[in-house]
Amino acid sequence: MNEAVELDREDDSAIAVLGFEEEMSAVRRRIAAWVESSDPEMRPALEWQFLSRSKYFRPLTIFSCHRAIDPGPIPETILNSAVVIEFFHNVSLVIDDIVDRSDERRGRLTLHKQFGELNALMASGYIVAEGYLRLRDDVQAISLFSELLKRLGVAECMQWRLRRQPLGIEDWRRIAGEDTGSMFEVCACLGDRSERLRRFGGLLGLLYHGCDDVGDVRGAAALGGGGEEDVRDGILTLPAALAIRDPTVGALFCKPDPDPKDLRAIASSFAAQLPAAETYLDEIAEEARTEASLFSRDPAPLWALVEQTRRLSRR
Amino acid sequence: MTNPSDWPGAPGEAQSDVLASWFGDWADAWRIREGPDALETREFAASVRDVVFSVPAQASWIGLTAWLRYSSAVAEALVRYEAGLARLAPDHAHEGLGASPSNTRVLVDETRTLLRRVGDAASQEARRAQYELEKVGEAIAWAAAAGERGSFPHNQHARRHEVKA
Repeated sequence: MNEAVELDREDDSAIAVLGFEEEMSAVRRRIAAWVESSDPEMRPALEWQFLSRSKYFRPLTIFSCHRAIDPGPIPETILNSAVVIEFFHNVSLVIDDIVDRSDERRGRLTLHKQFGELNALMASGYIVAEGYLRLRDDVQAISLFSELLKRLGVAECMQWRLRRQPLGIEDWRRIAGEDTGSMFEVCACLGDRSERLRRFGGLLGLLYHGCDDVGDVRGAAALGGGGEEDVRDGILTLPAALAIRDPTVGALFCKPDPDPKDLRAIASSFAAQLPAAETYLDEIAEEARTEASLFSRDPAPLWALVEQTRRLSRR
Repeated sequence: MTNPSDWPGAPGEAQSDVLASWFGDWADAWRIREGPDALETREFAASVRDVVFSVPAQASWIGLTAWLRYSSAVAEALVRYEAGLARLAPDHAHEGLGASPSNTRVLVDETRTLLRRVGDAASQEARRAQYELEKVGEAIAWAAAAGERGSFPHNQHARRHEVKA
């Protein structure tokens, strides 16, 4: 089966499992309507970025956190927050792709490869401005989105500063917690509006980040590699944090200019840590489920969310 | 767990006297105002009083169970820490771990994990206790609101001021 079609089906099934097809259709329609009404100068870039496949996992997190606290229908403020989180998530993807020098994302050219860096950066600013405009009547959301942008900026700098260093699992938790963790923390707060699920969101983000790390190594290992870009840049992923406890692997990981043979050895040692990484992810998933049980009125949507996230490492 | 009906009754006598006197005055004032509904209001005041009397016991119980769970979590974290160290250096579980830089790094990482777990447990139990106390507070508010609805049914509610045309 075509990989893209398979991924689409998985994404749609996650939405269906959580029962938010209607709300997600509304999010898609609003984004499409905004892209359609945007300035003609910017529209092709926005179409390229937004009208491609997306997991919509962050809006899904907002809806699930809201449902876990309030069984009623999803209100307008929450729906609006879901649209804006998708905007901000896309901004983070565009910037990440530029910084990581990535040519492709989800099987097609990245925005800066297709339209150039200037257009990609300007599109990012355009999207952020639209996001804040949509939040003009929701002061709580403005505060949360501001927190998110600041924390993502700090996390990106921290991750780059700490590359190729002999660090540990606790350092990985700190980086992942500020990077993906902050995104999902904010999603949880936007959904429940009481801060009660903030810690759950942080754990879900940590789980998502770890599953992504493991999925990259697993996917690349199947092709004979091991999460090439992260290995090349010396990024502290979960398998890396486990593998570099071995002093030999640690020395290779910290080399300023590793040669292809070194990179292969590092990738292989990361792949060897996959079972330990999966066990660690199971522990984080359990922590998240416990948080959901303790601090929500109905933990079922949150448990389903954890289950969907956990599956990402086995993709 | 926080259902008021599941909890033990009145705790300290001195406190009971103060609350009984306060609720007695409240019930008297209500009786004078309401006249024919006096019995109903007395019952309502008594039911709210029962709920309020149980609050110190509930709060103490919530605090105690939070402390017990926290202690248990700390003990579990310590056991896992010891097991982790033993797994990392079977022959030097307690000495010699700092012999090489890589061993020191692992020791530091494991120790940070221990401290995070202890901190997480403290934070989780504090938030859990706060959440449970909030639920007790909500139960009291609901009990009071239910009594007020009984005394002032919606169909008897009348505006007490003139509205300008």
